[in-house]
Amino acid sequence: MGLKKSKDKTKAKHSKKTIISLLLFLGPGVILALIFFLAPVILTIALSLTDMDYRFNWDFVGFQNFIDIAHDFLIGMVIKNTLVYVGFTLAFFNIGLALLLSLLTTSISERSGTFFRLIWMLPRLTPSVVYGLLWLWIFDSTRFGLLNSVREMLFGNVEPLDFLSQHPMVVIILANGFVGASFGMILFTSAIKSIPRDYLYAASVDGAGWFFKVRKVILPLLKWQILFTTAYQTLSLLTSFEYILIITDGGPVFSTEVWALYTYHNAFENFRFGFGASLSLILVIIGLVASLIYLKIFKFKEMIQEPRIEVDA
Amino acid sequence: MKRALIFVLLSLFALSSLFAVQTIKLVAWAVGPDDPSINRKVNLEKAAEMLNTVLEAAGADIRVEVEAYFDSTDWSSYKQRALIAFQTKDQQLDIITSGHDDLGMWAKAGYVRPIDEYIQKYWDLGFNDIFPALWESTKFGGKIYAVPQDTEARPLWVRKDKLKEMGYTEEEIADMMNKFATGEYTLYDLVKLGQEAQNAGVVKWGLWHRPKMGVDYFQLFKSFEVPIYDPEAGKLVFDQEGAKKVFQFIYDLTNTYKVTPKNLIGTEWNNVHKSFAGPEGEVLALMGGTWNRAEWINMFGYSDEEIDNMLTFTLTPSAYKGVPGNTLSHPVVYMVTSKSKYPELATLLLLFASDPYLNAKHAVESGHLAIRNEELSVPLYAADAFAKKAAAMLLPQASFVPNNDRFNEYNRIIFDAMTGLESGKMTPDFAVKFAAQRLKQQLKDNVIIK
Amino acid sequence: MMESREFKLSFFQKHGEKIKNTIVIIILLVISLPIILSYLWLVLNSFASEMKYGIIPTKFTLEHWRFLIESVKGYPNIWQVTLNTFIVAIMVMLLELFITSFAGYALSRYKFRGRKTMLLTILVLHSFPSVSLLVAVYYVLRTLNLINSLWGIILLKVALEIPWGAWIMKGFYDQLPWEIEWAGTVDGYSRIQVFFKVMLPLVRPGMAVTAIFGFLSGWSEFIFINTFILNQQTWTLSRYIKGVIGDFRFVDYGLLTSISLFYMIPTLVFYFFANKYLLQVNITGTKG
Repeated sequence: MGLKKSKDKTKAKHSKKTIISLLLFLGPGVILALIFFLAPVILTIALSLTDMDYRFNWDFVGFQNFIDIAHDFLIGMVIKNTLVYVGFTLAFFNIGLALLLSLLTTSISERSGTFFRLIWMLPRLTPSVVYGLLWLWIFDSTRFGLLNSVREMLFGNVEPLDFLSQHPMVVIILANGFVGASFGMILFTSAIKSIPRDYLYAASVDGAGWFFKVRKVILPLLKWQILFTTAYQTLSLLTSFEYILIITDGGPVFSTEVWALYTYHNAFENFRFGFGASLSLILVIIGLVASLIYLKIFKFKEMIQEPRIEVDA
Repeated sequence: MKRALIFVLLSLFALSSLFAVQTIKLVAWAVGPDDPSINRKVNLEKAAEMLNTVLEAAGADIRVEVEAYFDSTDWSSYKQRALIAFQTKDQQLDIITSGHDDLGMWAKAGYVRPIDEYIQKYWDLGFNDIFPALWESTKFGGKIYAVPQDTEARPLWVRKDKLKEMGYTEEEIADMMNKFATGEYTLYDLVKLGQEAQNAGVVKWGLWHRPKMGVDYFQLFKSFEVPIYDPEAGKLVFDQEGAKKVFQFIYDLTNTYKVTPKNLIGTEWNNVHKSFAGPEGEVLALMGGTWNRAEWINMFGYSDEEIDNMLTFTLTPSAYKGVPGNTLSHPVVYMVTSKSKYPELATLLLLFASDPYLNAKHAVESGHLAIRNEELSVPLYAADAFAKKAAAMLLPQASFVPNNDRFNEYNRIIFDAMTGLESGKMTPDFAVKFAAQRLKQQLKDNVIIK
Repeated sequence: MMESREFKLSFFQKHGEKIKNTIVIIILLVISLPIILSYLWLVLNSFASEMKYGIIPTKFTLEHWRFLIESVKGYPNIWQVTLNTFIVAIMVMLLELFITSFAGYALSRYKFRGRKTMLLTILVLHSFPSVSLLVAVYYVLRTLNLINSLWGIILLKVALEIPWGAWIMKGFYDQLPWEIEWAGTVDGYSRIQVFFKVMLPLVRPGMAVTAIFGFLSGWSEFIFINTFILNQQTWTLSRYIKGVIGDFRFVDYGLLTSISLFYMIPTLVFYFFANKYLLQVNITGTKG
């Protein structure tokens, strides 16, 4: 009887104190998330139904913005650019190159492997403006850029190539790809490293060459990581535009204008906030849907894994 | 005049003489962005001093204090901050400087206010001396919203020294420039001259223009006699057939005549200045502004003599023989904000800031032109040969871009078309379609598409 | 018989192994060449007045580092801009540290209604492209009068990064056994005291990670500064460099590279001294 009473007392005490503690501990974070996540999502929806411009008037126009998007002269090009950009960067770099790097760096000594992996982490750490500058230098149209310097070394006095103006999409894909590859590289590397040695030795003893081992042993075991990276990076690429902004700013003449950048330009260069919001809304919806799907497919793994030191980016 | 002024001020401030001296603070923003235009700010401060002197002499108990700011970044972020300042309730802002083309947008939105009554009130004290044409650039919907601060014109600069290298004499060059101005030589003759210079090896390029958005290229529209504004309807106009001609010319500059580089748009200003006005000089002609001269003296350290031996100028030629050339003027104006608590005082301050001597100092030091008659006889201005020559040749043929609240968007679309044309990525037909459709979609009823 | 066959196999394998390794390293070098060369250029050009083939310096100079002493024409003082960058980095770091240490603890140790929802929300928010909300965020900041203010940037950055940061800290707390807290409360301390005296010190590694990545994240921030800061005096180094690239590209690479190198100092310090952790721990937001 006495025990029961004390139990109730502690429970009651806990509740009040707990609530206050919870409020203090979680409060600031929740408030910030409300202001900068929830409110903007709602606002994006609301703004997309208006014609708001630099005057910041709430002029509701229904779905006119979306009709305008459908009839927009440039939207076809923007969509094409986005698909090309996302598709190629993902396939060739974020997945392709990442796989290549992880496979290659794990097939040599640990020291050498780590050395190269570290080199590939550098772009991700570098502030975006500086990284952009480096690519601008590589494809610089004067003879002092890297590409033109190499050409000069190989071919002597040739007319410098203005690669950036001629093939801007290639430059964009390369620039984003070199940064994006490191994400998959880390994920795949740790997965490869955790493959039991016996599997690989067994295959070696059976006379399997390196290529065979990769195809039949390693890749199948990386399926989950590849799927995860694809899902995660697709969303990331669809909505990123920082490097594009710095290197080509959508040019020349909209040839590298992707959806996210088009939104940015409309909102912050032309001050068409209502129209910009409706363009954003498409991305927001895609983002939400994709996040939820990705959550559903991978949720179990995330929740089950004891988060120690997260291997993620 | 001064007596009348004192009388007016006395009657204005008669009641406030009971208490100790009260200081009224006015906040004013000015912009260059070029450094030499700092007098836009300095003149406001000097105007306050002048005003205070008169107030003290009149025994009034009011003084004016001006808190003036000068922005040397760029137009775009200046205008963005202005918008925020307009919309922020407790931020004081009484006077704002900007190009007259922003007037339409800001007036329509209610950020700046009409000051007709004050202009009328102090008309005889100095406002009447400002060139009538300039007052046109301050009007929107028939009302006056600003006081002209300066004006400029946009000449076609030509490297005289390069022409001399090709064998032309001083007289021949002067005659050539005159022919471009009167219409005996057309735009196409300019192209030919550029090609001639390129072939002679004295320059790399025949004709350059501004690499970023602005208003200069509308001179080409004038050259082809293509209208961009319907003053009766008060709306912007896009004449597709006419535009095609302009676009064709622009396209040809880089793709057919090859006197202009394809990637000129997007080049940095430093590069443009260096290429045209630098000592080596790789470009024969530049569609620039009168203020460039002061800028180049500053940048490259030329003396007046050196730069006069290097450059000459003329109007932007017409596309048609016999039609005189044209130039665009883009007056900068001082506007009074709607939220200012002292609009009359602000207008009065602007009257003092428009003092002939103060304005002459600004004009001469930054390469702008006179805004009023009395200014022409200020010794500083009269001695400036360049200002005189520029005013004489350019101002008579000057026109302005319209004061319309959607002009910025119109401008952007035309500029995008230009970028596409010059880079070769758009054909003239495509560019016309592009511009027409985007204009229709963005400006809707605010543009007339013919 | 078997012995000789084994001997033959292992000899062949060894030989093949060396060849394979060399080939792999060569391939990796070639692929990594753009990165290696461009970062080399960054360092070399900032100290060179003349470069052969764009990358081999022939004359050395310290001239490009003048910007530390006299302002580049038309640009604000570099130290003012550096201070701004520093303020953003420090405040982001401190706020993130503070909020995530607390939130992570609560998520790890308290059972409350909505915990699961909160954890799920964090996962959703982490993968959600926050950049797509820029338009609405502009409106929010404007309403709060935080446009053109570094505080707007700081709060925004912190808000976007704490969901994942809290998750990471939760992970660190999860590793600590419950016994520690019981021991503490038995000794007479309240839960809050236990938190401050016992738990926090034990998650110092996590806090170090959060602090470093928070600082670097704030230091490198560009897009928000570019969009919301309109005053040159309030610029950070990233926006400053973008401006300089615009005006001096083709004209003065020495200046561009030296300023960029200057900007990268904290990043490089971290890179060289803590790269061990880099490959294992990475909390920075979604990039690329």
